[in-house]
Amino acid sequence: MAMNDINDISDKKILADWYAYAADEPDFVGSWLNLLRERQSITPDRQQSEFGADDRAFRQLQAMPLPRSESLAGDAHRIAEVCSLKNPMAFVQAMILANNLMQSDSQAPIEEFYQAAFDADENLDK
Amino acid sequence: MAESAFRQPTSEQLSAFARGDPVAKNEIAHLVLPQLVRWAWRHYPNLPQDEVQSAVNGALAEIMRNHERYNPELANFTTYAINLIKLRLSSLHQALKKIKEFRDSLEGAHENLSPTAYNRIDCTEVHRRIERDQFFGKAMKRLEGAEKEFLRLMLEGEKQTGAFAQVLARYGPVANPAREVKNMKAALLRKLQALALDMGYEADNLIGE
Repeated sequence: MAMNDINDISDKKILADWYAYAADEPDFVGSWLNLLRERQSITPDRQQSEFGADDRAFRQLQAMPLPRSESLAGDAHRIAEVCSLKNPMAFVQAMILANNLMQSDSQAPIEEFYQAAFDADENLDK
Repeated sequence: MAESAFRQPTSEQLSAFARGDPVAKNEIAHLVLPQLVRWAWRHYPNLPQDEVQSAVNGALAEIMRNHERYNPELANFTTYAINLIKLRLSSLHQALKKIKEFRDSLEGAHENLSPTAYNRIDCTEVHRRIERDQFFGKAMKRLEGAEKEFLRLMLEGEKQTGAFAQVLARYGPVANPAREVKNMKAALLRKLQALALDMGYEADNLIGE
């Protein structure tokens, strides 16, 4: 590859590719937004519209690292500001909901195991 | 810590990064990613550009996911990132090398197989064989007794005079097997040539073997 070719590729293009890459990675906002779309049966367009994001902002939003659980609402609101969302509260609410869903999903197998340990045992010999 | 040719995040950004701040992580990604991608393209010109960029993206995502592993007092951010990128690109180089070796071995095997599998018999030869089989099928119906059995043996590639002599012995006494078999074969060939002409085949193409 010639050096000119490398220099011709703009930072914008490199960052656009990064947005697409990170959006599909766990621990990035895109993974939580995807989870919400599946659970709520909504399209990316609808989600983008609810947050008040243009195309560029929505791509950047999905490539943002996830907010920390100990400062979920605060981090989510700062992320919304960085991405210039017109409806930042919708995004904060979405992050809180996704966090709850993730926590309930991760607890589900433990509850099933706990239940199985206390199954009735009076008919086991039959 | 050594001076770096790369633009580095500020100490505030690094401090926030170490605490897992998503906004600081994003700012650092915007600052260092284009520099790191271009560095990787320059240093690994023989690797596919897209694959190199993907490896850099993967390394950066890993660093952001495990932010607590990076200690700003031990290394510049870009030095730390480049060490991880080198590991990923080394794995990529090995993987691509293996794929190339595998492809080369497949192509070599294909080239060795092709002549025997597909090229030995050309279409003309195939048509000739089909025509020949059709002719001998029709001719067989016009022959009788010893002639029919001789033709069958000849088509099977039998060369031993004894085999043909045994056929003749079933139809009468054989005083001189070699001569009588030779004469019988010659008579059969003449008859086949006549039949071929009669049926519209070119006898030379069919019986010349």
